[in-house]
Amino acid sequence: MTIRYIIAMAAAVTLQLSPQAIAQENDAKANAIALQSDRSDNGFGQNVAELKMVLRNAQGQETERTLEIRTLERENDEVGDKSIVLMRTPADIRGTAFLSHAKLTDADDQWIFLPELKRVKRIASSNKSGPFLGSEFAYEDFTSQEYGKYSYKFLRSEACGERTCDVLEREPRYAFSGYSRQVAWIDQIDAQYRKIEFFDRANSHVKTLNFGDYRLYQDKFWRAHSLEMTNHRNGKFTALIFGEFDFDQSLSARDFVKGSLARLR
Amino acid sequence: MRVPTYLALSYLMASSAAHADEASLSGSVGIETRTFFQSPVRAEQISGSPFSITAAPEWQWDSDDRRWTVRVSPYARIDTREDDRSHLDLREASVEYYGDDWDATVGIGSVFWGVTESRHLVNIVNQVDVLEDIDEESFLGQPMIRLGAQRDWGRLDLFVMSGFREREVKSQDARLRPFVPIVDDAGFESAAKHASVDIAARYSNVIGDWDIAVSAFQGISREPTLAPTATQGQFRPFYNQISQVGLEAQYTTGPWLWKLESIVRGGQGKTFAAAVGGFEYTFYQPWNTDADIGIITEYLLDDRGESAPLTPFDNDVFWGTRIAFNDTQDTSLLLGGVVDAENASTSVRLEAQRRVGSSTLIEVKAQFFSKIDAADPLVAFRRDDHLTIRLARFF
Repeated sequence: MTIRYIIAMAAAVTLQLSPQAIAQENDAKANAIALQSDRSDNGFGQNVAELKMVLRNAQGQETERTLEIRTLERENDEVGDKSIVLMRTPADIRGTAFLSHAKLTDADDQWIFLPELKRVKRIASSNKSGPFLGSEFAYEDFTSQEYGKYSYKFLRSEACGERTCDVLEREPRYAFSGYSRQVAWIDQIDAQYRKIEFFDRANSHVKTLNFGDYRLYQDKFWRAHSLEMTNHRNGKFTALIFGEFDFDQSLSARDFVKGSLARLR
Repeated sequence: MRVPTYLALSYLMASSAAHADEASLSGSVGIETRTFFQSPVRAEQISGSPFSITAAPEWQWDSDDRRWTVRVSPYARIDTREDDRSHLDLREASVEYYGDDWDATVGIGSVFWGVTESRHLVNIVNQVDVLEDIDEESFLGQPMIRLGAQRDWGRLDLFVMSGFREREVKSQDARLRPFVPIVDDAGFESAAKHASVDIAARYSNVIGDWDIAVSAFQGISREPTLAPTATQGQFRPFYNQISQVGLEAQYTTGPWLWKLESIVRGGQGKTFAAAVGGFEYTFYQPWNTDADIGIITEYLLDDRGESAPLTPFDNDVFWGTRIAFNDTQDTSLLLGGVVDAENASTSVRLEAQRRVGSSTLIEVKAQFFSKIDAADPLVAFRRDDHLTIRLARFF
């Protein structure tokens, strides 16, 4: 919480500001909280993790995928991270890889590598709200929680498990997002996301994402190792279960370009 | 907090995260039937439903420091009916090195160039494996030395190739073959024949919404012409030395992909140009489904002369649709047709696939020829409508 915020709140109390002014101040508070969460990840550089994706339909049948995600930290606050998603199973799509250069308020740049033909294709990515790999995660849910992707409003503080969370409402700034808004719970101790509720364009609550099994790396960087998405509309469920994150791979920007996609290893 | 049973699996995974310095074996084995609906044009050609078994293992080793990769991937098909469709090929047998500023491949490799869907004009390094299918999407391994550099200015790859791979000549009993008898006794313009050296270079880069590449090739044409032999009415493949430059471009904006491939080739009669270009537009999750539906249209033009290898794509329009169902079984479907703008000869192709269980893929391909003009090169296929069903087990 910033000093500016405290002074402003004090001013609001003493001067009895109008509801609009309080709303603005709530936005400032929300921005500060979201920014703090975003900043907590600054300087991680790059990391690699394997994960299992468990897809469960309304009848309880489960299917699984395993993949590896390589992430390169963004160059600046104007863009998102770069990432490579490399499929390991099912075996028939083993080696298929997605490269994306995330943008905050625009369509990402995305390429796919198809190992059978050794072909690299630039793919249209203006729609980020479709199911990613047949899961309940949309592509836009799957990418990182960058501050600049949303505008924020402070709702309340409340208990979340054993901790206290600030609850923010955030509106995607990307015009073609599948969501009208999201409600996010950020814990007050480590400034990490604990839960997000997703509201579709018709403003109905369609999905809930729970973050769990947070572990600390290098005394600085928190990573959730369990992400569970429940779709309230179709009764389906997807869990992402991460293995250890490896921050010591020597990946560079050159590994995250189209020309290197056919030479992943 | 609820502890799902599958959490236990995450510990197994964490312990198997290291992939370097160990060999991995993956790949597939498959069974396939191909049913021809009509009797063949010529009596000696097979009819009915030939049956095939395929195997495509891939063995790979990565060094601990991720600088070296050794890859061996043979491919085998055993066909019960067509004599020469059974074949064995080494798709890859290479050592790759990844340096900080450059990378290299030595050995038998596979390389794909191109952006368009209906025809792969620019792609030239690897010979087409015509025994597999007529879609020109299977290739024979090509011995090569490749040097590449990925820099801020883009990517440059240089190729030196020898050990030329001839396009396989189908046996007399095969379907989907030209009318004329072709003997498997290729002629070459270069005296060194298979041992002559081909060179190629390709520069590619991404500039904002544009993906572009330019390439150049000098060496043995992968496409043979047909030359008469001493026996009346009999032909053999003849491989000219050619020079070819290629251009690939794609402009990506919103749901639109605009694509262009073009070549200029000299060495087979008059120098000629050919191009294929068009767009793919995607409708995302229409009618509240999870599917993505793409509409593809491409125009194909080729002004090659009579001394060049025959092509059916002289002045044609391709239309197609691609549906990705975005389900857990990765079901997809591609339906496309090429129509000759001058003589209306039409070939239609359907490809669909879906995973059953965790590692078995079922694939259905259908190909139909309609209103084929007597002067169109496709006339030899006019009674070769067929349906292929393939079941492949991946490991």
